[in-house]
Amino acid sequence: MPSPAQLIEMDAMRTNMRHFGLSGAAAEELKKTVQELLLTWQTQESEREYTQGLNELMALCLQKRTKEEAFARFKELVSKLHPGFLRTNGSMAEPVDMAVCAVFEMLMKKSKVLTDHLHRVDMHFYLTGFMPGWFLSMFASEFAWPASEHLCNRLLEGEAIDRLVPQLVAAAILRSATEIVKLEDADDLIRVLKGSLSEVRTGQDLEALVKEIEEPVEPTLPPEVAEVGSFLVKTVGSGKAGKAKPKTKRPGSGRSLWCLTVFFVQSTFVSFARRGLGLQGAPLPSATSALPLPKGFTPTSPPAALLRVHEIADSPKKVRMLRPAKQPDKSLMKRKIAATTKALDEVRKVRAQQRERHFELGLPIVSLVGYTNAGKSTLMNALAQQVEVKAKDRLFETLDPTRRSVTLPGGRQIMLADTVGFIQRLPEQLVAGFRATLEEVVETTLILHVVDVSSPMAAQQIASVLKTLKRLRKFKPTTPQIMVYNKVDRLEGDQAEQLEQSLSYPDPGIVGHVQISALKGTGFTALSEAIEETLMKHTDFGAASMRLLIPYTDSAVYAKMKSGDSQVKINSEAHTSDGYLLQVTASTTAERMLKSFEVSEEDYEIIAAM
Amino acid sequence: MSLPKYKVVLVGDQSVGKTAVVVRYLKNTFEEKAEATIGMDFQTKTVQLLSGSQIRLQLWDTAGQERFRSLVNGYIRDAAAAVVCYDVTNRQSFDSTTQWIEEVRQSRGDDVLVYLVGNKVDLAESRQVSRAEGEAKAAEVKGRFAETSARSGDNVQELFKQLGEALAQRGDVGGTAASQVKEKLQLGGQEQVDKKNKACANMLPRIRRSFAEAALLGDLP
Repeated sequence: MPSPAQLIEMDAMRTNMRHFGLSGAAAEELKKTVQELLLTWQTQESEREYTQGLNELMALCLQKRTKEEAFARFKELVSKLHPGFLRTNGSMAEPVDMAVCAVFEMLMKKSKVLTDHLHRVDMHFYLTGFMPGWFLSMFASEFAWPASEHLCNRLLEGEAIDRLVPQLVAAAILRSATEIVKLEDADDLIRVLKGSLSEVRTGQDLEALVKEIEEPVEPTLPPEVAEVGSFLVKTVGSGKAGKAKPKTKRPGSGRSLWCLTVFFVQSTFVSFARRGLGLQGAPLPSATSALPLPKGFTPTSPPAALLRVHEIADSPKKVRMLRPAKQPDKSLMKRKIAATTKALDEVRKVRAQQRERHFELGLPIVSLVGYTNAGKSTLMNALAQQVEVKAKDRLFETLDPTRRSVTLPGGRQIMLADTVGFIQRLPEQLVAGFRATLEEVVETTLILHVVDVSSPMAAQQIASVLKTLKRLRKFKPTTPQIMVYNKVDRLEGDQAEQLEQSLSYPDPGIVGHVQISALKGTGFTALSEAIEETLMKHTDFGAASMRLLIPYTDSAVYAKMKSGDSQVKINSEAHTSDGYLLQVTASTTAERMLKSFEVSEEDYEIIAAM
Repeated sequence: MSLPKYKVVLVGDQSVGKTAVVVRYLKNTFEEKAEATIGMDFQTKTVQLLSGSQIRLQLWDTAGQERFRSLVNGYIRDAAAAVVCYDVTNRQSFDSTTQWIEEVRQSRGDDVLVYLVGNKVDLAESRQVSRAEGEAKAAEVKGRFAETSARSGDNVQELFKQLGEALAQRGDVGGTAASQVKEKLQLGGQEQVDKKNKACANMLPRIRRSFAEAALLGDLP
């Protein structure tokens, strides 16, 4: 092993110069000085030893400083480092482990889903390798030098490096969280993280990054929406907003900016609304009613996930990292989309687990799909006869697909799942986000495709929904689909009949259609029957295979089956001396009724052989 | 969709040219004065095998300084192959390989493929370690041998090509194909925790604990 002096000599020549934009003679000069000062430092130190990376730190200290200044600065910075990095017999594993743990602890407070994901891809393992470099050279390989310089200043002002470095890493991870949670490969993940770090160029960037993680989550005080306008005027109209509210450090932070977000988020939604509803010819929702404001958050309440979406999207800390002076609308919209996507990821995870449980229960999942405002939630409410699923004239009311266990008139129990409306020309990022939510549909047993037939755009809307369904990954096009023509009450005269003739879609999944009015409650019996029939005919649900021996004394039962009862399908039959020997497929309801006539496979064979 | 992935760790004394070899392999360029690797860095490359199939090599480039060894050990433990590098113009770096190989064998036993690589063969006039010496040592430690020059590019591509073939042939011996590990991980639950426990034995006890807790608590709010 080379001596520290040899190593310093070697490494000084290998110091990263791109960081300072130096080349040629100036670079050589700097390298020489780095070597000289490091050697001086090493001869002065008895307990510490040069570690690779300190050459970068020395070069950093030498920027725009005399040798003496740089040397003093270097010495002081080095004294801030954990001894494990430098002490002759110190263990580097210790400070590195501590730092990685700190990163995870910080992230854990922000998002459990994100932290779990990082664990899953072994992120801690990779971080361990990069930590020493970040500590020893003050992110020289990632930041632009003004940012590294600023980091040094903060440390010299007394900040703890053991806290600050993990903070920066955690914040950078958090900043690219939406991208990170999508990546399964730690390679890609590290690349994203490094990219996020390399965007830190100035001291301000660094401050902004640190703020993101250390900002305590302020309680969101929902102001009256009517105030939004006036706040907006204050923030944008006068640069003295900071003075007016002494607690606000920078103009554009805190409450006023929060309002600004609400405004832009709303305008985002309103612009979606224009696209979506404009096509339908329905009135635009007013800005004040388009977005419900979070009024507290109970983790167990059904719309919790929905509220969480708003909470994440609207919390003021998210706003800090935006640069409101520069194109606030674009970046805010971007952030909003990012936050929504993130929340949806969380929703998806919970859903996946619930779906599993419902599968275990053996209930068929019936999903309501349809264009926005087709009346899915109203139908769901009517079927479930409960009001938890709030039906409102709002876009994205159902960001969290709620599901209810519903007993149909025939006794059949189903799991009814409401999904988000399909909107044409959704921004690509949002489609991806909604895709997660729409996974419901992928694993569904039966689809109820709700259509607002009173809309002049009904045909286009149906086409749009069918197209979106097809775009879903893993979606089985053969999933049975019942077209539910809703709002027939709004149609005049014989329009309904005309409609029946005009609307036909050769999609493989579509098995039939029903006309209803969810609001007036008409057509539900037909719908229930259609669901039951479709489940019987097109799925395995309730289609229990049974072997029956029905004594001739009970021939009424046999007669009922033969009468074309959709609940039982006879696959094979024989008339034996003991009675009707049948092999049938029966619905759950019928199965219960026929239980007393069931015979074992063995007995069946014996009787059949006689 | 994801290709079988093999982790390959490059170890050896500082300035023997570990980073340069990797850079030559990945970008086919050479920098006279490459920056010292602090801690660890890694790159991934897809390798086309003779059989027509593909694998991914994840190259873990490590710091040479002794001080980093406690960290590097963690990466060795996770690797399917170790490329132990020395500088043919530096006897000391060749002598150090004994220790590096020992380190590798200690934590991975015979599961790991060891490649002894003498770099900087372009500097023929200042050579201190002969090819025969290198080959002898490789045979002694049941490893494979190669001599390369990152500067000229000599034998660098071939080295990793051979390495890829050898790894693919071994398949998942020792369960080191990352993709297979991942598959297991995706089964979730206890298995995931177990795997984690094995992977970072003594490395990050606190993280491990919080991971186990997370697994126990599940994801439901």
